[in-house]
This record gives sequence, C-alpha cells and structure tokens, in this order.
Amino acid sequence: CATRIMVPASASAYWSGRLALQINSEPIQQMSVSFELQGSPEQGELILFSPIGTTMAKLNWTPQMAWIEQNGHRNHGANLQAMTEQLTGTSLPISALFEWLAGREQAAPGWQVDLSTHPEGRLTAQRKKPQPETVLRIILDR
Amino acid sequence: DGLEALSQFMKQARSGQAQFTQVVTSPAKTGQPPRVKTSSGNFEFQRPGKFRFDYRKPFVQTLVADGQTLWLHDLDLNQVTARPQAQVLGATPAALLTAASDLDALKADFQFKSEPDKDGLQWVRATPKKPEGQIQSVLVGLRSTEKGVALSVLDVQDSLGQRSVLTFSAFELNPTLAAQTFVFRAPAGVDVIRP
Repeated sequence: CATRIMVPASASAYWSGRLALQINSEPIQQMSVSFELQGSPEQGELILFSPIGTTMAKLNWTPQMAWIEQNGHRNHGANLQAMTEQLTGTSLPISALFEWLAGREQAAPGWQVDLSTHPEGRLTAQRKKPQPETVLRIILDR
Repeated sequence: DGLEALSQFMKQARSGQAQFTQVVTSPAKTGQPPRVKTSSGNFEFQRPGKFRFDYRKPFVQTLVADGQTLWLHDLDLNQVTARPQAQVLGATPAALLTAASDLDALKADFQFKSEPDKDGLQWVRATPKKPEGQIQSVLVGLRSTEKGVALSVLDVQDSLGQRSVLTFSAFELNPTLAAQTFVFRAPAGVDVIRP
C-alpha cells in the first residue's frame, strides 16, 4: 500500500534575512544582525550571524525546552520568548512575528506592524507601549 | 612554507587593497542541502588596527574599523551601529590578520601550523588557544609574488559548524590609502549611536 508521507503539523517555514532592532531607552540600544529562522513558535531554530558571516548565536526550542549556543557555551532558557528577551534586552512578540514574516496580520499588544512592503520582503514593527519605544525592521533575502 | 609566508606577509604588508568574494556555508540540516550565501565587494586595511569591508552584492553594507570603533552601516536597514573594536575583533579573522602588529602578537592567541602547498598557494592553519571563542580554525592561503606575499584566502570554520571562505583577488600590497578611507562618515538622515 502507498506509504503515507507524514508532513509535520506546521510544515516548517524558513526565512533568512537581516534584522535591525532599536530600543529608545536611555542610552539608546541598537542591534543589527543577519539571521536564519526555521520552524514555528513551538519548535525551531534561529541562527544569528555577524556582518562578516561568523555565527554569533544559535537558538533552538521545542515545546519541552530551549537552549542557546554562543561562544562555545550552551545555556538553557525557559523558552524562545525568554531567550530572545535576554539576547536583545526587550521582549519581542514571537508568535506574532512568525505570522508577520509569513505576511499575515496578527495583533501583538503594544505593537503596530506595517506589512505594506512585505511583497518586497520588508516589514517594520513598532512598539509604543510599554516604554521604551522599540522599532524592529526586517529585510528578507530574496 | 606557510608559516614563513605568513610571517613575511605580516612584516611586509603595512596596508593592502583587494576585491573579495565571500562564500558562507551553513551546516546541512537532515534532508536539506547546505545553505550557501555569496557576497562580494572591496577590502582595504592599514596596519595596525584599521580595515574596511565594502560589501556591494547582494546588498550594500559598509564595515569600517577606524582603530577604536567598528562601524557598520546597512544601507537597506538605514541604520548605523558602532561597537568598540576590541569587543568584536576576536570574531573577524580578516581583522585579526590586518589589525595585529606582527605575527608574535597573533601567537599570543593562536597556534600556527604550516600545511602543504596547494593551488599555487602556501597555507597555514591558525587554531585559537582559547577554545570557547567563535572561531574553530582559520586556514590562511598566501600567494608569493615577485612584489611580495599577498593574502589570497581566509577559510574560517566557526564553532557552530558555519564555514566562511573569503577569497581575495587583485591584491595590491602597500598602496597609499587616503586617511579618509578609515574614517566613518554617517550618511545623512541616519541616527548614529556611539557605543
């Protein structure tokens, strides 16, 4: 009989591109990295690269656990949300982000997202509340 | 041999200019081909401590190390970030080779071993003495020419399985570079945050 090919529940999505984050705290904090993101909010992998292509960090997460590999060390985190907060210094709307990357509107408390240029692989999201104001800009590789 | 060529390069090359192509290969995931990203542009350096990468393809990014600060300008993201140079130097082999004053300075952090000549180049492998850094090993390819030793290849394996191969072409040894080359000027309309 025909073997049924098991497609994972959320066929794992894949995005790669560049991300710039600006947190208007005092002093202002900024981060700009290239990234490869695979999977879903429940399970996946995020790799962050420096501008010259060296790997800065690798994050992995499953429903049971999450860990980050950086500079030869592996540290466990509670979940992807907690790890990205530790890495960037601010809390990012993870599940909404996966929807935005796919070009789908999704509300995230305090955040406004502009998907008008998503067809050109760009998206911008801004959090006004709670302070400090934060701007996230993403450009997807084409 | 490779080590001799590198030592000569470090002595002779006070500055340099070249075009580069960079091929970055991420480790293959099960059932997926390895992901390869290619970029290219222009590279300049002035010893000690100054270098500049002008990425042109596939997108425009400028990276300038002026001796104290490493500036990154991403045109599309319209953002400039600045980091103290010492903080990020460890992760950029090109910076190490051009920033370090001489081979002995590098020997503090790396072990060197000559490798057999291949493809018309002399090779030397550098392995970090402190293992927990981002770099696992760097294979340096050097070309001896009548004008001196030119840097040809930087093949970097990092500790998360990523491989980045920088190939330099049209390498010019000791060109006179304008001081402005390594002074970062923020483009209009971009807010610049100092570290």
